[in-house]
Parts: sequence; C-alpha cells; structure tokens
Amino acid sequence: MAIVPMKHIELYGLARHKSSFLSELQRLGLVELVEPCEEEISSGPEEELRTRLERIEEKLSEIKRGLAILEQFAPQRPNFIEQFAGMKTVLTWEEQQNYLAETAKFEELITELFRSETEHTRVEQERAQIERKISDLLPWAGLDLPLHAWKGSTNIQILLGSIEGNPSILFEALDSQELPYSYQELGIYENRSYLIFFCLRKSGAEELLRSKGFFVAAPEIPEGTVREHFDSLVKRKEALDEELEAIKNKITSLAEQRPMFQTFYDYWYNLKLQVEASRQLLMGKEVFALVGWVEAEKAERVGEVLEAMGLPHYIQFRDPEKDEEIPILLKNNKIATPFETLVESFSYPKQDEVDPSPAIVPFFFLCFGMALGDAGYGIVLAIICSVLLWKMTMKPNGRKMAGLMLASGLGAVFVGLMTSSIFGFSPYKGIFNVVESPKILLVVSLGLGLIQLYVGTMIAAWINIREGRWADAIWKQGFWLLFLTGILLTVGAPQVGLEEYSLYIKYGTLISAVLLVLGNTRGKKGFISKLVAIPGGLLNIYDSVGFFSDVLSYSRLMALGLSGGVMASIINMFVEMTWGIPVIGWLFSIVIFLFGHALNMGLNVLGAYVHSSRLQYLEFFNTFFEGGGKPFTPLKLENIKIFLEKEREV
Amino acid sequence: MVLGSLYAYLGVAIAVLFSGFGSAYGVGLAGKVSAGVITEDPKKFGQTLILTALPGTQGIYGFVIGMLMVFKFAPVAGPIPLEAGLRFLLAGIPVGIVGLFSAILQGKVAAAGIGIVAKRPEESAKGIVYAGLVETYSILAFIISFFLYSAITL
Repeated sequence: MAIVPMKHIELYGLARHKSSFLSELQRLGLVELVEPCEEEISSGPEEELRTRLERIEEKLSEIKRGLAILEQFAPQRPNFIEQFAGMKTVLTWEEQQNYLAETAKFEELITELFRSETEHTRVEQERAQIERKISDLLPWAGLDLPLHAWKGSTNIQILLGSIEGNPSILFEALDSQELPYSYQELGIYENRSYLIFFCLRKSGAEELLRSKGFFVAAPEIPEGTVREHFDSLVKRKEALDEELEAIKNKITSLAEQRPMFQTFYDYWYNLKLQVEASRQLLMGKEVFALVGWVEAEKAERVGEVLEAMGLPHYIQFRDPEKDEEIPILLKNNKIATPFETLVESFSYPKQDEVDPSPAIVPFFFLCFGMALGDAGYGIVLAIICSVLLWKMTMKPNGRKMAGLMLASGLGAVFVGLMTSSIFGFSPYKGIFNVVESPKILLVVSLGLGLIQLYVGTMIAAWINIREGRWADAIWKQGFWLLFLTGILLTVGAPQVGLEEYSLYIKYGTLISAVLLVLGNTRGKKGFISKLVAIPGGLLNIYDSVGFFSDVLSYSRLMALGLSGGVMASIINMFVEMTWGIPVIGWLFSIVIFLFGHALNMGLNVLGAYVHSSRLQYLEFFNTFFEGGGKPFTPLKLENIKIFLEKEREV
Repeated sequence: MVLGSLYAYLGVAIAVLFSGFGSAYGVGLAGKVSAGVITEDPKKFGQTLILTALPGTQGIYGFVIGMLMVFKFAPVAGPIPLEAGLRFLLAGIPVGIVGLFSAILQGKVAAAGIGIVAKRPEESAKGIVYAGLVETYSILAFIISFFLYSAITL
C-alpha cells in the first residue's frame, strides 16, 4: 500500500434532488468534487445560492456570538494538554443526534441567552449610574438637614458648597467683614472641604464666600435628607447586584448547554460546506452533473449508497486517464501510518511517485533514537504519547503525530538501552558510552546516513525499474552506487584490511566513474552531441561531493546525542552534590532531578524531532522524492467545535 | 604559569558567553512575537512555545562545552600550561561565535515561523523545520569545538 488508487466519478441526477445527493455524499465523506472548467460553469441559480449562504452565515455568526457570551460568563479552562492540543467537546453520536432533534429548544435557548445578555448590559449600566450618584452624594452624607429646609427662612439663607483646601480663609473673610454666620463642616473629600453656612439674607455673605472660592452647589436629592436618599440608592444598588448575580447564574446555567450550541455550529458549518459544494456542480435546466474522485475500493460502496436513496440518477466510474492529475491519499499499515505525517507536512507525493512513508520508518526511528539517545527520556515520551492516544479523542492528524512520537520514543529507548543511558545514568556496560567515546557515535551516525542514502538511491532505481526504465536504473543509480562504494573502499580499504585488493578497487572506481560519465551521453544522436554531453557527465562525478556532504550532515545526530547526554550527566552531578546536604538535601536533589531532566528532555525531544525530520526531508528525499501532489479532500462532515466519540461507520 | 589558566578560563567564558547571549536574544525575539500571537489566540500556546524554545539550544551547546572544559581542568593540581590554556581558548571559539550568530538568526526565522502558526496553523511544522535549518551550523561548530576539546591533554 502506498498511494491509494482513485476512480473518476460522474453523477447525473435531477436538479431538484441536488441537495439530497450532496448531503448524502457529505455524510459518506468519500468523494472529492472537482471544480468544473471555466467554460463549463453555467450561470445557474447563483442568486439563490447567495441568499442561502447569507442566511447560513447569519446563523453561524449568531451561534458564534452565543458561544462568545457563554465564554465570557463561563469561560472554559483548558488543561495542560489541551493548551497544546486545543479544546474539543466530545459527544457520542446519539447525543449529537438528540441535540440536533431539538431545533425549537435551541432557538429558545439562543433567544434567552441574547435576552439575558441585553438585560445584563442594561442592569450593569444602571448600576454604574447609581454608583456615580452614590459617589456624588458621599461628601454630603453628614448633612442631616432635610431638603425642604435648604431654602432657609425669610431672614436666614442656607448655603451648601465646597472649597478647595482649608476653609479657614472663609471664616476669616466673614469675620473681617463682621458678618454674622454659623456653619457646619461636613467633612473633607478628595481634598475639598464641604460646608454648610447659615447667614443673613442680603448681608452680602454669599458674594463674599463665592469670591473667596466657595463653590455653591447642593446635592441632588428628590426629598428627605441626604442620608435617606443615600440609603435608598445603596439599597437599589444591592438589588441590582442581586439581579446581576441572577443573570450571571442564568447564563452560567445556559453554559451547560454549550455542547448544543457547538453541535448546531457544526451543523450549520457543514450545511455551508454543502451549499458551497453545489457551486461545483454543472447545472442544466432539469439535470445536474457532478464530477469528482473516489477511492477505487470505495467506489462500489458509493454506488450502493446512492442507489439506496431511491432517486433517479446515473452514475459512472472510470479509471484515471494517463496524464490526469488525481488527488493523493496515503494509506499504509499500522506501523507506517504515523510516519505519513512527516511526508504530509513536507509534500504529498505525485501520482507516479512512491509513498516514502514506509521507507522512512526505520530511519526516523533510529535517527530520533540516536539524537535523543536516552532510554529514560524515551520511555517517558512513549508513555505520554500512549496515554494521549488512549485517553484523548483526536483528529486523525493528531493521532498520527502522537503515534510518531510514541514510535520515536521507543527508538530512544532502543538506543538508550544499547548505550546504557537511562536518565543520564549508566547502570551497566553498554556497547559503548556516548559521553566517553563520542567518536564511535559519530561513526555510527555517519554509517546510518550512508545506509539511508544508499537505500534512497536504491529506491530511485526501483522506481525506474517499476516504470520499465531498466537502462536508467543501471546507468544512473547502478553505476552511481558502484562509484560511491569504490570511493569509500579506496579511502577505507586499509582500515578494514582489504589492502591487497586496493588496486582492483581503484580500477573499479575508475571504470564506474567512466561509465557514469558515458551514461550521460545515452540517448544523444550523433558523435558531436555525444561529445558535448561528456562535460555534463563529469558533473555526475562532482555530485559525489554533494553525496558525502549529505552523509556528513548526519553528524548532527552525534552532536544532539552527545549534548543531551552531557547535560543529563551534569544534572545528575548536581543531584549527587545536593544529596549530601544534611536534612533537606534529598528534597533539593529530587527537585533538581525532576526539573532538570524535564527541561533537558523537552529541548532534546524538540531538537531530535526537528533534525530527524530535516534529515528525511533534505538528505533522504533528495535521492528519490520530489512531491507536489494534491491531497485528497473529500466533501465530508467536519468537526469544528465538537468531536464525535466514535466516527460513525458509513 | 598563571597565563595558561587565564586562557583556559577565557575559553570557557567565550563558549558560554557568546552562545548564551545569542540564545537569549533569539528566544527573546521569538518570545516577543509569540506573546503577540497569544493576545489574539491563547490556544496557540503549545505551537508557539516550540518555536520560541528552538533558538535556546545554542546556549546549551556552549554550556555543555564550557562545562566539559571545567571538568577537564578543574581536577588538575597546579597551573595549566600555556599551550593547553590557549587550546582551551581556541576550542571555545567555534561554539561561542557561531552559536551567537546562528541563535540570533534562528530567532528571526522562528519569529517568522510564528507568523505561520498565527495565520496557517496547519502548516506550522514547516516553520519549525525552517528554524531547524539555521541550527545546523551551530551543531557543526559544536562538533568541532568538542573534538578540539577532546584533543587537549593535561
């Protein structure tokens, strides 16, 4: 398995059954629709579509607003894992269907929610108003004279007001004019003194006071004393607070219905997808036509399901034509499936390429293992990912990623056990110790690189053979591998004890080099053009520089493994140092151990992932893989806000 | 001779100092951009964290080399010979200087990658790979520093 074979599908039906067909196809989620060519697009009922879409968009934004209100009053708190993976509400299929059946109730809920929100805003505004009034009255709270007395009597004038700073200048001014007066200080508020003056009318006291900076302003109250009004305001505010609390509680209780809101959001979202998909139909007066792609294996199933609908239609499947671009869907066995995510985030293969996922499996496993290089870290990573896979509902992509990390963690366990490195400790004698003999690690890294690039070249040869280009496989990849092996042996023969054959090796290398150059002249007509092709062939020889620099690129595995290993042993050294401290030493050393290793593991996992993927993308893919295929995107039901516990079988 | 010890210490300082500075700068730059993304969408914390942490590795490489050097000359009684001291100094330079520049530049690439997280979260793995490419050169420098260091005998 690799790239899933596709079949071209053509479906004709009556125009009025269009929506039924589309919704059934969406439910199936197996068919990718193809946009008709420019000249094929009919001017169809575009107007009608637009109004439908507008209505759906309206509905969506309404639910979105509802969800935003719920979020405001009863925010969802993502836990640590959800911070990374995003939050989803998990429902069973039955629950979802139950929600969807209650359209009327949902309409009620959403109007109630909006009403509560408007009410909340109104009450909050009133409360703010009252609060302002209360704060205006606050300086006058000590005034026990009722409102009707403020006017004074025939002879006595009452002046209420305030002055910035110390009021004594007022008294001095009145005293110096020898005006009779009485006063009461009400208190100082925000650096203003509030006072009440009793003076004789027409004595000129008011003018004098004003001129000295006394600002005459009485508080606004309807009747009675200030205190009475103040108390009533406070009471009103308390009532409003209670009201607010009640509204909040109501919205919070509505938040329990959040899944329903989310369900309906997804429902309308999928309807939108469906309506948009109908743009991709060819519309006649009475008949519509739909063109698309379906997995060859599933074609029959699609036919059966559409047949079961009992609506008149005509369906036709055919294999793709030679140069037709088909959408790409990858399918592999259980072990290789998680590694598809690496390929997918690079680029989908083209239809005539091979899916490189299975080829990546052993190499990514080992690359990651060597770069992380610690069995302790590896097992922790593997356990975390298994728990995620087991406990969390994730989209297929999330599952693939978790599976990839699980496999990678096991790679680190493998390498860590080989080299006896568990949380930076070396409890037994492994094959070699990374920190003590990093040169062996370097050789192993480069060796792994060499093997992987050889395998890549062989895959390229295999692709050529599969396509029937035997000559290409021999002339390009065959002699290339011979030549590379020749160079390696020429350099390395003395080390592996093949000195006596060194002459043969040299000639072998030379011959394969010549053949490689000559290979470039194949297919060229005439002596002159063959001669011209020779310099280009020399470039093939030069490619070996690129090849060996690619191999050297694998030295990063050694650097990552080494730096992680050294860091781990430094952490352990600190742990041992603090262990010796009496009484609380053990506590410190446990904290250092946990925190230090968590940090080191995090950074190393990150580095191992990034650099192992890079080795696949730049070094390995370079030998045989180009990519550039278009991923298969069938029309299907999307889960945006909710998540079904078990995707229903269709 | 005292000068030998001085050079050895200088080697440690260069390895840790420059790479650490570069990493701090790079992580700071990426962190600033990440914080901006979080104000819009707090759910992207995980993805931005990965990109923010990436330029931090150079500092670790420098620290590892520095630590290894200290372990090597600390237990030796008496002064370090001048030649050995100079070797320590030279061994510290690659990881320090290359780490400085690669961490700063990696921080810039990571910051741009955080833009991918903000606008097209499904493609964020590519941003991580781009940022990873910059690190190659600090890794090469680390390897050389390490082998220079291992060649020193006291």
